[in-house]
Amino acid sequence: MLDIYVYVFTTGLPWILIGTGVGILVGAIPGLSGAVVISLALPTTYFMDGSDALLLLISMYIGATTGGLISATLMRMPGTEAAIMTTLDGYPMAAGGQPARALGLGVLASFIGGLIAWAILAALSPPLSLVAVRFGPYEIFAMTVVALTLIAAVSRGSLLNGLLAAALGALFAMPGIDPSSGMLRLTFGISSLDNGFALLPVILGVLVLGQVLLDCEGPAAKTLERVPGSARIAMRLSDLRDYAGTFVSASVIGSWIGILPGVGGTTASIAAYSVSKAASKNPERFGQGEERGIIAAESANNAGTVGALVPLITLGIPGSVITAILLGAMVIHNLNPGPLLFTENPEIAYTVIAGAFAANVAMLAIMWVATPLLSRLMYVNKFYLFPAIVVFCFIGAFTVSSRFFDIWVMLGFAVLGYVMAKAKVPAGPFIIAYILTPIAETNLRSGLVIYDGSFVPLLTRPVCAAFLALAAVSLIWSLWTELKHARRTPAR
Amino acid sequence: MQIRSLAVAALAATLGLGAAAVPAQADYPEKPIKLIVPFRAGGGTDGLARAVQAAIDKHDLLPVPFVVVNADGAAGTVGTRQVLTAEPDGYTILQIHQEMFAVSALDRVEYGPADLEPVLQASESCLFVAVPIESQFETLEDFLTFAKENPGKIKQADDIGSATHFPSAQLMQAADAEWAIVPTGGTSKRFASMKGGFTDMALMSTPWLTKGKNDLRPLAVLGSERLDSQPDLATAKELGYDVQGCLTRRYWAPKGTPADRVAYLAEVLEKALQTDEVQAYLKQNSEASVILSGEELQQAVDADYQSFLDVADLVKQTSAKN
Repeated sequence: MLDIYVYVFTTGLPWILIGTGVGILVGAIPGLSGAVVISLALPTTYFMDGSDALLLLISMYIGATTGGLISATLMRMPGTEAAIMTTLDGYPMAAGGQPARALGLGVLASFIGGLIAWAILAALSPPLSLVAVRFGPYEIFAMTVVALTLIAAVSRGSLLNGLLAAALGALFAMPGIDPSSGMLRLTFGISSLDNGFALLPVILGVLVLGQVLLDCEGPAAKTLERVPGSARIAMRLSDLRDYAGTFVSASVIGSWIGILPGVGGTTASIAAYSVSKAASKNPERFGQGEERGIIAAESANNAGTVGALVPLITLGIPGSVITAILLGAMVIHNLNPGPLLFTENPEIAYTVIAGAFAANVAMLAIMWVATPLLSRLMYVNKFYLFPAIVVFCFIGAFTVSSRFFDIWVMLGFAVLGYVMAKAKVPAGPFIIAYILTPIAETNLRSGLVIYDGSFVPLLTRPVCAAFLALAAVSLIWSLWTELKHARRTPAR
Repeated sequence: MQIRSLAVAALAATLGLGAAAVPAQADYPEKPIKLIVPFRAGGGTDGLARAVQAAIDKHDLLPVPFVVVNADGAAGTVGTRQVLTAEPDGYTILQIHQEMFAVSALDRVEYGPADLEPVLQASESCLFVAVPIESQFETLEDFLTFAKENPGKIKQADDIGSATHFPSAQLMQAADAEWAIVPTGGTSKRFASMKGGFTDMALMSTPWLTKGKNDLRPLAVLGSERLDSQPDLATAKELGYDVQGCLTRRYWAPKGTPADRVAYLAEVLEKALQTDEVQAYLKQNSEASVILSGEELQQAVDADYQSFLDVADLVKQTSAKN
């Protein structure tokens, strides 16, 4: 097993560095997602040795998750889906004159999250995967309900506007193929809508192009005042001590959600952020550049990324689009991913595990060098960056299904994002509801078939009941704080 | 020039050169040929398409580039529509399996297989009926008898309205039983659902015969013959239930593509499929190389699609119960 680590850090190192570097770059560019670049890289790996190909693709996967934090922090545009929560605190901190600090915290959190998830992957993969498959449709549904009720935690300003945004997000997730009847719904006879509104055009529209529109008219487009010394002090060892609780809890939550098939790093980061805010003594600081917010979001999404490798190598079950492509790559290289991988080809399973570790280390090294340089981007007039961002958004939307319709969808959602911002309807709950609704719906409806149309197991299955109780508490708690807040400021 | 290439072709033909380029026609092909894969990169359809592309490149089977384009979405209909509306000039083709028949049989789309020109059938991969290893059902008979006596008790993990839902309905019809279809997803999700103890049965693809050998018990294979790799596993037909459940990968061109171009494409693709590389790919993925073209292919398509239409009502009936 040790020889695999030796291989990864010697012969395999070039692939790790290329993969991580390319992953970070692509992750940082809104419009180019990890899934797109891994799909593009896949055919080029046909001519490579199987384990080298795996190392390259896994490094890209891990690099891309981290890269998303760069644009999320510096421009309030998530470079990848999983960096959505990082925009909430990363950008305010960077805009407040500490871009290097914000990036440094994000990188450190990504590293710790990846490391903790790696330790779990290396030590507990087989037993954990058995627990994960027992986590059925109702359990996942209940967990998603918790995350949905925590939407209040991420809506800045009025709870009503947050709920409005969430309702809109859920609505836009509806058109397309009904998961439990297989028939079309809400497509109004427009065949281009048969696939609904795809994830990438929606995110690019609301969060990236919507932001471009806002920045074009506001003072944000002007160059920020450079704060002396702001490029230094990226990471501090004392952070590890001061925020140990957040690092560990977010990484564990992230790893677990990553392990569940079909949930993914974005949900991981939503959940960890909300939990960290709920547990904080100063929840009002979240969304204003709170260090714990960045740590929770970034630890969890990287932990979720690595955690998703657990069902992949133990059961051959891909938990996300990218892990599905990784699975395809393994099949192409005759690596036969599945429940027998660990017993019959343990060296492949250990290559994946070692690769995850090495890519995490490579990510830290690359970002350590790059952070001071990247943080200067904060002071570049954004008008120089916008043309490139817009071009990449168009490319990204087109790659979803190789058609122009998705570009129109993206432009439509850009206008929606802009109008929502003007009306003070927050984009966070919109996107979260848009992402979580299909997960909640498919699992609820699967559960209904399994339990003969009965909702009772939601209350009798202990894990479901615990999650739903948590959801109820969080809902009451957010209503309560909202009321208290309203009473204190009656003029609003 | 034309005479010379014909002469070369005649020479190659007499020498019986296996993977030599197919002689180009006078004005075709002149520009890249685009193969639309209506599913994401890394899946089974994409895998075969990429293997064929690599074989065409390696053996110079085409004088122009052969480009694979992924147009994923809505169960393959997004990509299929791109081929339906493409110029019928032989520069755009499609590779898809029975998922196309499923969406048409359910009237989810207004087109059907008759709106496309079949070019070539490449491979066939038959499903098998699987139950969890700890299941009480030892044989297909056990399972179907129980299902018939206990309506609604059995939960099958499947993807509602997909190509595998139809053979599931055929099985119900053949056994005169009906059970619940749990919307689960592709084969790996079905595996997780059975392993987690949430569902009792699923139709699985052949690679799972080996991958799942410690967790699944195969009851019958839904092909016309037993599998070479699993000679002891009976077909459902042998057991008295005439059910065909195979995914057949086929190439299609837009309706109206000139017959000589369709023939040319079929010839190029067949050569690519018969290369050692593609044959090795198919073997590795437990897919059988079953090449059909022309009249034979048309008959296979018609019979196949009819079998989907026959159970379309039952498929609808076993969907959307809640």
